[in-house]
Amino acid sequence: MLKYVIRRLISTIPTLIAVPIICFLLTRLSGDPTELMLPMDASDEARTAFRALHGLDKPIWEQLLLFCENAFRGDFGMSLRFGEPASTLVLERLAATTELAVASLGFAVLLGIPFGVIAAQRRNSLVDRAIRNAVAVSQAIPSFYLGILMIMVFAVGLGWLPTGGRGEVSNLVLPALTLASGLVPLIARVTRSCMLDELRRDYVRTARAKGLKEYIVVWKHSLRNAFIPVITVIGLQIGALMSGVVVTETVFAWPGVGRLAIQAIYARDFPVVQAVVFFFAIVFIVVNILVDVVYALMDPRVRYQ
Amino acid sequence: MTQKSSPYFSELRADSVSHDVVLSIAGLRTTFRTDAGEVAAVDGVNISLRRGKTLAIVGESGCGKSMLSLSIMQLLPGNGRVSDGRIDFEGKMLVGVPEAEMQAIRGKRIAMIFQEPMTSLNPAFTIGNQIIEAIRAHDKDVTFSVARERAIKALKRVGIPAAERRVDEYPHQLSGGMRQRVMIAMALVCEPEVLIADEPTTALDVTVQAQILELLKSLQNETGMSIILITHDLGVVAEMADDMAVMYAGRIVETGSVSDVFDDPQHPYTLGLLGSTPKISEDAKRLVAIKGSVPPLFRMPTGCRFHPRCDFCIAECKIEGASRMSEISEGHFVACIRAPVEENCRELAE
Repeated sequence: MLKYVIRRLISTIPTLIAVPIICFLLTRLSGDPTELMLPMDASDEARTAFRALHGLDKPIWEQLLLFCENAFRGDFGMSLRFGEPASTLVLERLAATTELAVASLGFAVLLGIPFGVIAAQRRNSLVDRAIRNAVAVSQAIPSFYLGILMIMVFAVGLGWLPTGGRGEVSNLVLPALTLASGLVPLIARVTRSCMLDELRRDYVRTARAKGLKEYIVVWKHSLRNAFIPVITVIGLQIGALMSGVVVTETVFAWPGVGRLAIQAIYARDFPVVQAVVFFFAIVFIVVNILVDVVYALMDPRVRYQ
Repeated sequence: MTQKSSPYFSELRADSVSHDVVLSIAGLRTTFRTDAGEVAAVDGVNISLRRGKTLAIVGESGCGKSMLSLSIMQLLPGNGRVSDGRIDFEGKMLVGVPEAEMQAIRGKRIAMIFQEPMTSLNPAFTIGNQIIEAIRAHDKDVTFSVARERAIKALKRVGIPAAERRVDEYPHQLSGGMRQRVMIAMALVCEPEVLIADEPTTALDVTVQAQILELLKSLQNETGMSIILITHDLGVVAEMADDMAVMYAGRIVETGSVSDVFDDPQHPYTLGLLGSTPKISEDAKRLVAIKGSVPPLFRMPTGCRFHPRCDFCIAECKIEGASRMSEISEGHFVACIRAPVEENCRELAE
């Protein structure tokens, strides 16, 4: 098991090297930040000084080498806009984003899996149809629209929850639900179809023949096996979750990486953009390894290979 | 004990609980809702299982023998139900019993093992866990560690080597034969009165088959349980069973002690089955196959359901009532109006 994790870690090294290089080159394609950061009437001396301060006057390959060298030490340079180290800025916001992502993943799993199981258990019943329709609707609504809708109903209309910002648990509910709304349908669907497969298996008949109660047969025996493909789907969807974060954070004024990234891109704040992309890549890699580990924990056949 | 006193005459005895009969089934009809309407997979079956004995139910695939066993356990697939008849188990009528009561009987008093040991165990749990679960499902007072000891003991009893280690292994780490042993250990861990074995050796290698049958036999001697053995293999019947019932197209066509049926088969279908089994003692004759195939459930022939495939068929065979049971000798029943065939149809048989 440990060997397996180490092997997975080693295989991520090329990705970790490639990501900042690609990101560095892409940001340079978007133009010169000096024009954006300095006032229109800034003198040529001021422009040259700004370029020299941020190393923008050097040839691009030299900038790349310097960038890689610094990135290796965790230094992504100073933000052009905030004047703070880019990595500090990103890491601060990453905590907020992680909080939001974990909460919405929690909502998605807690809603999606029971929906899927119940729909499978009562296949073609009214309950099943209701769940399937709700799921289809939820999947069809774009998250920015749903977010605004929820603000109007629960924050402005009913006044139950705040409209945005971060702090209390109540601040977390609406953005997390909005973000989860894209994931719940997928988890519910996959769970339903996997459960339908599992409930047909021979071991289910064996479990019933032992005299087990039906809820144990369904929620323990079948779900445990149906969970394995569901985990794979959840892992793949964390990518979508991260892009959803950008929109949702903007709608709910959530001080996370997503909003920072948007601001940084508009301002051509290269160091911050590079740091955001780099840390997002790390999150992806960690999540993928975690999924593989959970997979191995759930399925003994993977563990013993 | 009135061993030979026609335990099969269920039409007369369905309501009277005989002392040596553990389980008796009378007029059982199991139907399925399909697109083609309601079809009966089991249609008017009468059988009795004697205490401590083995009753084999023999027939081709699709004759309804598995549905018969699932009817007893009330584990029929969603579109199936017992629509008529009685199942009496130790003085208790099982048809229509609430699910909660049936759960207390399943695994505890009537246990079942299945044809596919490779897929019948849950791949995600250790075999120990699955046996412990069976114990604790019926006795919540048993602590986990006590149940674990019992599980190890159960594994030892079915001949699993290094049971202390094996108990923590997963099904995929065991061979097919070992898994079937685990299934047997799990089925017998609550010491049921009746074991239903649905083709327990069909999926196994021949050498392993013999071991599993031997194991079932010795466990039966040890515990005194009664076994319903579902099989299509007459060799297994001869090896294992005391009584047998031959099933064709959802009905029992002949039933009696194994020696009666093997030595003096009466129903043309039984004759056909025996004729299509190779025997090592005889010269290599050509095996006789039964012509035609089992009719589909939604297009059952009238009268005797075997008549389209029968060499002895006459006009009366095609009308209702042709499949009525008659007693040929004590305890030996056959559903054929032409029985005994060797007297009535000598010229045809030759």
